[in-house]
Amino acid sequence: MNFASRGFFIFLPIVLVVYHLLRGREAKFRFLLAASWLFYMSWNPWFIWVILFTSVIDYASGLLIEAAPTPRAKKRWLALSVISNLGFLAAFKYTEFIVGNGLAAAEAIGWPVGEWTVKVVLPLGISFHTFQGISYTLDVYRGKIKAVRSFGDFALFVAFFPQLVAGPIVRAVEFLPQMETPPPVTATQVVEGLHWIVVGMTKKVFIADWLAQFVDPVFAHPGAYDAVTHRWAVFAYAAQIYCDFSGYSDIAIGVAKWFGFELPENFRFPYLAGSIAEFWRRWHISLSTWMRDYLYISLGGSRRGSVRTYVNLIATMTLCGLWHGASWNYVLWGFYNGVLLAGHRLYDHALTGRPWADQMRGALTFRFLAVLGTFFLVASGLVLVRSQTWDGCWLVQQSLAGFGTVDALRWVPTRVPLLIGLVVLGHLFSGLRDVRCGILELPPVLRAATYVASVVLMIAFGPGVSKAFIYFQF
Amino acid sequence: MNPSSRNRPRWGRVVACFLLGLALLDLGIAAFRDTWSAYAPHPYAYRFDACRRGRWDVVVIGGSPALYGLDPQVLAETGRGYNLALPLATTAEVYHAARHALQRPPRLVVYGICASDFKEDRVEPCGPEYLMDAADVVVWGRQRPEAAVWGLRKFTEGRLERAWQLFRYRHGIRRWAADRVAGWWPDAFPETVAEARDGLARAEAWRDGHGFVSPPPGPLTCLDTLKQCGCVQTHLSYFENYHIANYLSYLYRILDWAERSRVQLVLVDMPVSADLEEKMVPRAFADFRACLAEVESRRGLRVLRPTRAGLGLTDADFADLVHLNAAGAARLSAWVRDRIAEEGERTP
Repeated sequence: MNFASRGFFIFLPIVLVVYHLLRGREAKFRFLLAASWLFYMSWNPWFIWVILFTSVIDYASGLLIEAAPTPRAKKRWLALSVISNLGFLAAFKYTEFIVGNGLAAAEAIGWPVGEWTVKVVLPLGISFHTFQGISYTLDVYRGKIKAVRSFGDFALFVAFFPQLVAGPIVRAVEFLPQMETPPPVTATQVVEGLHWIVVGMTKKVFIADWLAQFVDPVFAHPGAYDAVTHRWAVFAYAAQIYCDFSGYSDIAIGVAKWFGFELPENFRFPYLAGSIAEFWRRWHISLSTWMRDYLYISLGGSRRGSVRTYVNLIATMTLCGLWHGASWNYVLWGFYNGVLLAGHRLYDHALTGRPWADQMRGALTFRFLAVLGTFFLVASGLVLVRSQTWDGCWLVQQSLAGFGTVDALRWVPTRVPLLIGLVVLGHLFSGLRDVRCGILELPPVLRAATYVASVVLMIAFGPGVSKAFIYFQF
Repeated sequence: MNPSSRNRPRWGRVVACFLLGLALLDLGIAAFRDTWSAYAPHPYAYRFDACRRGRWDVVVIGGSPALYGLDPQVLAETGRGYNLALPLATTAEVYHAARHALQRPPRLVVYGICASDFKEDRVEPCGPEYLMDAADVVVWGRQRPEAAVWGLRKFTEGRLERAWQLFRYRHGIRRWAADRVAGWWPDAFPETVAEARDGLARAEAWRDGHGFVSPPPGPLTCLDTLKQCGCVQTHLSYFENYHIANYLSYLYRILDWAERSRVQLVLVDMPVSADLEEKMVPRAFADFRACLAEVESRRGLRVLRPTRAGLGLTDADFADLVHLNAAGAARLSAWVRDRIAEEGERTP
């Protein structure tokens, strides 16, 4: 069941009505848990055991960590949780990658390996709920939260359907306190919920799905198109992936509000970032902060000297890349981002505190050029993950750098610049004023008119064929 | 006063204005529904409406072989004819279309029937969505329990779509907007503008051209040419696992409806290409013809059986394996008109 599907628009009202009609904490939360599991099972009912098993392990680990008498024993139970979560993730997500590369390596050194293919179906949202499980046991281990006594409560924290499939990755410290009593839904939450659902759906159904119709064929056969088309395809993909993923997060945040829950912000106009470090503070915030708090800091962060800091940064981002997908494209993309972050840190440390540099960096022109430069670096990284072949990737990178083929088809439908312009406008309208969404500041009538216009755009002017959210594959 | 209670009326205004805006928009869209539906005419909804609104002497019913093969104006001669045949229709769709669209019964109904109308494992979505009422769905569900939920879902979707005008006319609105924009920015949305022009042309043909759609002459509508360039399938999965069961009962319903409405009904066993009938699925056509003969003898039904040899139809008269092209349709329509005239119209 996709957020942009008819099934979801039948499922959601039923769950909302029953949830709000039910009285008492237990009844409400048990029903919400059942609905969340049903939502999960709507893709593949057989994989319910994955989420059940990891929930049981993490729940038990939390209790055992808390009850353990010695730090050594606590560490042992923590290891159980981390290994089981990562083990599941590795088994489902990386088996094909590991086996495929192992066979290729064996073949390269002359070992006869024969015809082997391994096909593993990836359970939906496994990358997200395993990270939630790990963050919970780590927080219990670090003493930030108390272990949850009720399995039902813990299972709901893991499986809460609005964010189950593609985040935001919710921390136990953020979510569990909201579960003490069923949070009452305020009038503000009702309307903000409507706002985020409409905005998220528009981003997904109107912008991302239209752009996909241009991006997909160009990246499938880059050799058939000229350099100008390549450049537009890269910009379009940058806009598409932002609208697709932030659209999902917006819908998740909006739906959660209708149940009275607040989910963390996941995107903050990332293409207004003036540096790669700032970009990662604005893009998939719940993942980048997770990586910082649970991986980068666990590796030592910046506490063990500058060389180690750079190594930690690059290692964290390479693993972040691997989290996104089991292929060398993602590994390279993660490494590329790690190198950019390390480079930015180096440059930042070298210049900070020098009056001329501070003055230059404070200038509006510098900020504008920094935003532009950061965007090109990010876009170049996106080409790594979007390209289907290394040859195609190289071709598009050349075009992005200003070279590339000329004797090929130029195909840029009018809607592509218009849609990209809409994304830029959204960034400028809200991002420059540093508000979460400028529409929320409009007078009621104008706001309502904006929502009506969004509905018209989605229904009458959308492409009509909705694609799965890109982040489902992660 | 706390801030949230102070803000409440403002929040309420947003929701109220949003809902009111949607309602007003729907009313506005409904006021121009003819415009939207002309830009994106649905072959079922549009033709069904066009037929129901008019008064006709002769109406052709059936599936796509009848849609492309029988010209109602030729059959009606001096009177007014309409072709209500619907693409992909089974006998169930044909029955529901005739019963609901022909509230003012014509003098003569010609059913261009084909083996595919009876094919049991076909379950078409447009029937429940556009042609059936609730009672029809119940009957249909009883006859096909395996597809009852599916049919109910399609019926409900169709009804809900009708309740929300923005959704119902979304394609027409998009095409209309592209057509308007093309006035001052011709290259902006060429594909949508082409769709808009095509929609308008089809709507005009269905509205003013009496519903008959003949494949225009050309190499792509001539089986002969298509065969020469190897563009014809050698295997047609559409007719696989052919057997006759529930859809036969709808033929009896059509006969009952014609009797009740005192409408003259003639069945035309639609000619198909020799390749299809003799080489690819001969058993399907044999079963179909045996079944038709049995109904004919049981109910005294009037069936015309034009043959390729009798009409002089060759591959050059077919658009593909199943459908006639303009030349074939002209020959068949004239032949049917003459046979009906020769035999004299029986009074029911």
